[in-house]
Amino acid sequence: MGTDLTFLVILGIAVMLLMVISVLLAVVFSQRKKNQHRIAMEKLREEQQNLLIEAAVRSEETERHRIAETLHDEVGAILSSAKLHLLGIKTVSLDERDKSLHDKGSELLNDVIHKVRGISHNLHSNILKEFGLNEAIRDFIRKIMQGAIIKATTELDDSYQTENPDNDISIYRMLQELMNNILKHANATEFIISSTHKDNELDLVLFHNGNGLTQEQFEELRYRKEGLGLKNIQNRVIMLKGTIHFAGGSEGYRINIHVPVTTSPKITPQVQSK
Amino acid sequence: MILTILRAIFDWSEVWALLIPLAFILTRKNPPAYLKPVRMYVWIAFVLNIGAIVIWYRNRLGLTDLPQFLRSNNFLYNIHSVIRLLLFSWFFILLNQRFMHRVKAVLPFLFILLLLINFIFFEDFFNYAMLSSRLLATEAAILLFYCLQYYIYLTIDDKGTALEKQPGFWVVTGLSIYVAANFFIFLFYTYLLKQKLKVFAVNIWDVHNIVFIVLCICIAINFRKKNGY
Repeated sequence: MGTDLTFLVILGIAVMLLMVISVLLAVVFSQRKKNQHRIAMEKLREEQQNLLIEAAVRSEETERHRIAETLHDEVGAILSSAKLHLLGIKTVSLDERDKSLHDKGSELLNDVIHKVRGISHNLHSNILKEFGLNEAIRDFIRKIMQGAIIKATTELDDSYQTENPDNDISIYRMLQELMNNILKHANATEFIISSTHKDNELDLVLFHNGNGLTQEQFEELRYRKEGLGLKNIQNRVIMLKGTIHFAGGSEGYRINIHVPVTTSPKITPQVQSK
Repeated sequence: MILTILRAIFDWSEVWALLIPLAFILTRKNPPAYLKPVRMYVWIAFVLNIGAIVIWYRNRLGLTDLPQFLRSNNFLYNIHSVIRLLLFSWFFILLNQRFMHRVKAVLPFLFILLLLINFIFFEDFFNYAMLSSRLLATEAAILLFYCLQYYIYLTIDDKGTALEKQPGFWVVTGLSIYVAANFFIFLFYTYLLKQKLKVFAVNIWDVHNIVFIVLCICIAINFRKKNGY
């Protein structure tokens, strides 16, 4: 009787412990399986998000090209024709007042033609495709600094050769947005844009001595409705699988953009030829 | 000599093992709310176990200067059992798992009812000779149920959070090992003593002490975890 009882107790303990261990193992395996499923779902969601961003960026780029071409080919042509017609007017027979009005009209028309061409070139990425990212940045800086009191310097690494023009379009658009923001909001008097290219990695640094953003402010602003520009920048960074970091100090503010330049999606704008 | 030291370590394990979670409880700042019952349990268990061991040690020395009911530590084990069940029931309710929550809310009251019926009509809470197998085994069964429902909830919950990040996972793991191993010990302990198997009963209590150390280590792990896990 005593042996039976001790055996029963020991067996009972063993069975109960085995049961708990089995349940624990079952939970571990089930949880592991669920975890794998969750990771796969997250990856899929991320891929879908990237595809959406890519599509949004592509459509934005397509739209820019369409507007640029319309401005250049249609509005530009009409304005040029209007200028020709205006120049066709014989001013000799006009009195002083009409001559002055004619000259003013001609001057305004020239301005409009110049501005439309500027906008069209800005929206279009021809210079980028023909001369590369560095030249496009220098050209953009030259244009935006005309008449501005800000002192701008470019220190770009010319060892960088475009491997994927679509990548460069996104980098260029980000820089355009950031530089416009700096001009509009930072009240900076000095501005430096530099780049380094090494081991298929491109690092761009925008430095200015005005009032810039910190990383926290950037994170906060990019979720606001009005922060469309910053949201676009973030989308392009995600699409390029790069990083962007905002930092501020006593000397000034710095924006670091890091982009791997070989792994990029194709975002060729689909512009229909006329 | 070594065996004597080991024996003493084992005999006192119900006290020193609790120092492990206590060290983490004292150093952990702002533990999550669901660990409050566990923290209370560790403190109360520490006091009760000191009392139980002191009574046992005095009996071993043959000291009989205390009142009759204080000459046996069985009532302290009974109190410990009741407190353990109530505090761990609270712990499982605080985990806020949307699974069998009504059953979990009712079980402590059912246990108290059974407790009252048992000790009013059938057993003496301050029994000098032996602890209440019925009470301890019922408590172990209920706690085992709580642990199993916790694991079932983890398998049906589709969040897929890593196990070590599940709230209370280490406490429940320690508790499930403790109650699973002790269920049969508690159930047959009185019977073993009645059957004149005292040596086996004393030896099997070492298993209780080992799994109690495991429980204490698991509680300590849970208190060591950061971010409220």
